[in-house]
Amino acid sequence: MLKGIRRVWNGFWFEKVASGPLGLLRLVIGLLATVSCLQLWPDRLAWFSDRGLFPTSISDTWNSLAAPGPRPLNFLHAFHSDWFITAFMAVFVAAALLMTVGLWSRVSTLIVYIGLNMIHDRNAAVNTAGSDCVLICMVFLLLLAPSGASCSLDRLFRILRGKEDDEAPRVAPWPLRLAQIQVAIVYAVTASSKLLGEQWRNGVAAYYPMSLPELSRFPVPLMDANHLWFVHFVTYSALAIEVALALLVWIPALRLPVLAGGVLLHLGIEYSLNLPLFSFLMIASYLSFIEQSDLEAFRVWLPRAIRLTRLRILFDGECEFCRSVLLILQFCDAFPRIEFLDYHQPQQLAQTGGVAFADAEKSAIAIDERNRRYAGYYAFRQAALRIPILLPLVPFLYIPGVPRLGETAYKWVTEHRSHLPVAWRYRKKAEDEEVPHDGSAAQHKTLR
Amino acid sequence: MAQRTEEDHEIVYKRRVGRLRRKFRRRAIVNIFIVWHVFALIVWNVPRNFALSMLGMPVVGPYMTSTGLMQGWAMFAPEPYRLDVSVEAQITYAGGEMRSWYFPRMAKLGYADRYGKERWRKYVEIMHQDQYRMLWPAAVRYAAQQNNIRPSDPPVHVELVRHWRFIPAPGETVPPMQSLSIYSADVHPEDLR
Repeated sequence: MLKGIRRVWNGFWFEKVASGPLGLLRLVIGLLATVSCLQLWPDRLAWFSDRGLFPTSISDTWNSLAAPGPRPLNFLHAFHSDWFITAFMAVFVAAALLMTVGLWSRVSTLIVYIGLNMIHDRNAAVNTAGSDCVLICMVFLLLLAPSGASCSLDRLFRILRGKEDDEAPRVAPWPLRLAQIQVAIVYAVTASSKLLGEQWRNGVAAYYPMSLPELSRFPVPLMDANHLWFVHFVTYSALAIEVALALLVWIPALRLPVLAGGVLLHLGIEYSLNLPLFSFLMIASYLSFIEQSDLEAFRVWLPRAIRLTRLRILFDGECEFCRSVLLILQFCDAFPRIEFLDYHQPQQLAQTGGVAFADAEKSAIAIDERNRRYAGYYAFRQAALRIPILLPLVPFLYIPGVPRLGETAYKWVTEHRSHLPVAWRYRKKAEDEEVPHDGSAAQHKTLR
Repeated sequence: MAQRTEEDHEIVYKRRVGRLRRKFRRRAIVNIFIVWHVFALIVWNVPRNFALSMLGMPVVGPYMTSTGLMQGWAMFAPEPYRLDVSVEAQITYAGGEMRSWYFPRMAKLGYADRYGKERWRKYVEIMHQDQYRMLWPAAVRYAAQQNNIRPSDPPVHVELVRHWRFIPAPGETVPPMQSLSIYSADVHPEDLR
């Protein structure tokens, strides 16, 4: 019996899982922390300076009344000059951006966590509809996890150094499990509190916030006295989904439908009520319930749904710079749409439907599913169309004049590629090759 | 390939045992933390009148406040918020002129602006209440600073006026706004800095 409990306990908290969902959670929470801080920026002095609306003396009184207790990270209490507040916010935004991209993940997450506490402790009164609470809870748990294990520049650098390959490291899931419990507690508390309310039990509660001019956003059709059935439907649906997110989400077969219900609920809230970031944060927190297999299924489903076609790119497998670029593109190719073929390998060259070796030598060639060929800059543009992180760049790549600049830049890179930096994993190899064991002078081309 | 000596085997064995001990210790610490954290979350989130909360709060309270995890999730509960409220600052200038200025109202802002300014709604939602009158002197000072537009004619007096009405049940007539002066104070030159 005890052994069984121990096995289940260890399985739940410690059995290693793929780190994809954890990395994605870090990325989205980091992005939302960035947006949250940018929203605070214009009014930072109003909220945090002693000349503003919440002087430190009032902040102390507020904290002692609302939740008495130590606040060791309330640095804005001691340092509240205008320049310090501005510098603090700038550092916070920078750290949140680093957390988003996953560079120095531990340190950047720690800075974001401290920053959120500083904001929260200095002025808890303007905590927006729980958004700040959700942010702090999630960042706290991310701080305990190796959140840079996946979807991060930290991982890209580890790949470039040769310390990791295709498979992201697996991680102990206990911080994610704590995040799941946190999410379930949010819904358990809110649903049980609502069940005590008369308006919720009568099925009309949803009508009031949507009728408040200060709180409502876009008009909700049928939300009026003539369509009480709709008001009841919305109220009871919200309650049912919240109860499900507290209880039913733990049943494996119901996990995804319940989470989908939660997403619908929060998209509805996002449409109808002005509660900035709250819905996005709650939806982001669902990532703690997502498994790697769900992500894999999504990676297969999305390209099919939006008809994102495959691309084959011929590259120079003997060029260390090209192989380094390939590592980066492969890392960014989140919905594996690009197949890289080394034209030095005859069987791989044969897969391209007749591209000549001499043509492949001149520049990278991309071949789409209709066998259309794109060379050099245009091959890069086709790749950018299929790589999510490069998508914001795509409109610029089509601006008249840009292709010509792109061709020139591509030509320059091709001509100088032997002098361009390469991944550490190849650099080390090149250096090893440079100094043969017999001590004779290196005959190999040098790579920086 | 050289044979491993007895000594080598012992070194490898000791290393493995050391690694296992470290892993066991780390896991024990994590286990204690997990139990503690979940306990703290539960104690903090159960209603305050529960025995568990009353007994456990002195223990978990310091942990929750020092980590920033103090949380409240009773959103729109037990009853949804029904108060349509705004706060106006009536500013009197040295020259005798009067001006009306409102703390940012979401209903008067564009969609993009109100997304970034939502904290002002929260602020007004709290600040207008009599129990938070401690916020009023700073609100007066801030309103004066925001409306100090002519150096030769600075604000000398600010009066805070609360405007409010409750959103009625579906189908009932929306009542007119009610107004009440809640606070007034003179503005001194140092308040405008």
